[in-house]
Amino acid sequence: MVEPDVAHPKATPETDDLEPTTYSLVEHTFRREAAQMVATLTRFLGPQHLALTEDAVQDTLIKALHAWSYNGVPDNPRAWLMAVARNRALDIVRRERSLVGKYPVLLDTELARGADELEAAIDLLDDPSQLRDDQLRMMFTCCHPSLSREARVALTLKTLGGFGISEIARAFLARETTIAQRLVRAKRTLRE
Amino acid sequence: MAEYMLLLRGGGAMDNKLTPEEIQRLIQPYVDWSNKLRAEDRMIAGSELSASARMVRMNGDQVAIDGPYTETKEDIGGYFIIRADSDDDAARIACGCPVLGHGGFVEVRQVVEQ
Repeated sequence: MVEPDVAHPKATPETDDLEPTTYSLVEHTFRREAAQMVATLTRFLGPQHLALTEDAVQDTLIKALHAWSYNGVPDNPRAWLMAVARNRALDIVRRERSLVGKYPVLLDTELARGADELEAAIDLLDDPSQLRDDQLRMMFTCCHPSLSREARVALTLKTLGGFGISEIARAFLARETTIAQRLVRAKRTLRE
Repeated sequence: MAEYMLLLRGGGAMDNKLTPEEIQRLIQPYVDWSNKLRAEDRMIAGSELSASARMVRMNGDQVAIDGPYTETKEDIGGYFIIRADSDDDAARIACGCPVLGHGGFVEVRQVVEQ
């Protein structure tokens, strides 16, 4: 019998074929990364597509849940998440585009351009100063003057804080449906 | 030491409304458990299996392909291949599997050596 946790660190050549994925997750990683992914994808797709971006990020986290549970945490979790989120966002945009193909009047040229830039910009997604700029830009977006104070706070907690609707509802002592409504309305305002 | 396959069944239905924090909290026990197995040099492989599946079988004298079938309650969500001393040892290891914490169960089968 091997003693737990003792025999580990000295990986001998014979055991080197094992996947070295013994990384663990830092607390609140997902909360932080969700916020960063939303901010960065918004750089390309624009705040009017915040809902689409949030869907892409949520899908990414669920995908990580399944993949990492079995395969372990990848060496660079941030890069993994951002790459998957980018691809997911592109998938969604492409799907919208093929819909749009049938109804050319719906064509959102800005979204199309953003998607092209996003496709080309994979190397730029990991630039630390750019990532900070994304978050700052997101902060201004969330505090847009056309939004009510309550909407600003809720939107900031959701997109920049990486909090979920249930968590925000608890903080406001409000019902989840109320907060969900508030966020939907705020995103609609940003679209207009 | 023999090789065992742990088939993780059920417990896979994930709510789309989970917060990032909740998702991370679901992953963590798996990461801890599999890291422990790696540290003990027991982990050989593991992977998630997709939910949508095809079934290939003979229908009379013709091969028929059915599906895609979507996930059912007791579907295999993924597997781990581990090293264990005996059936009991493998079962003991499976007792730590986090899938048990959310309504799933683990089938433990030895990989028979020829």
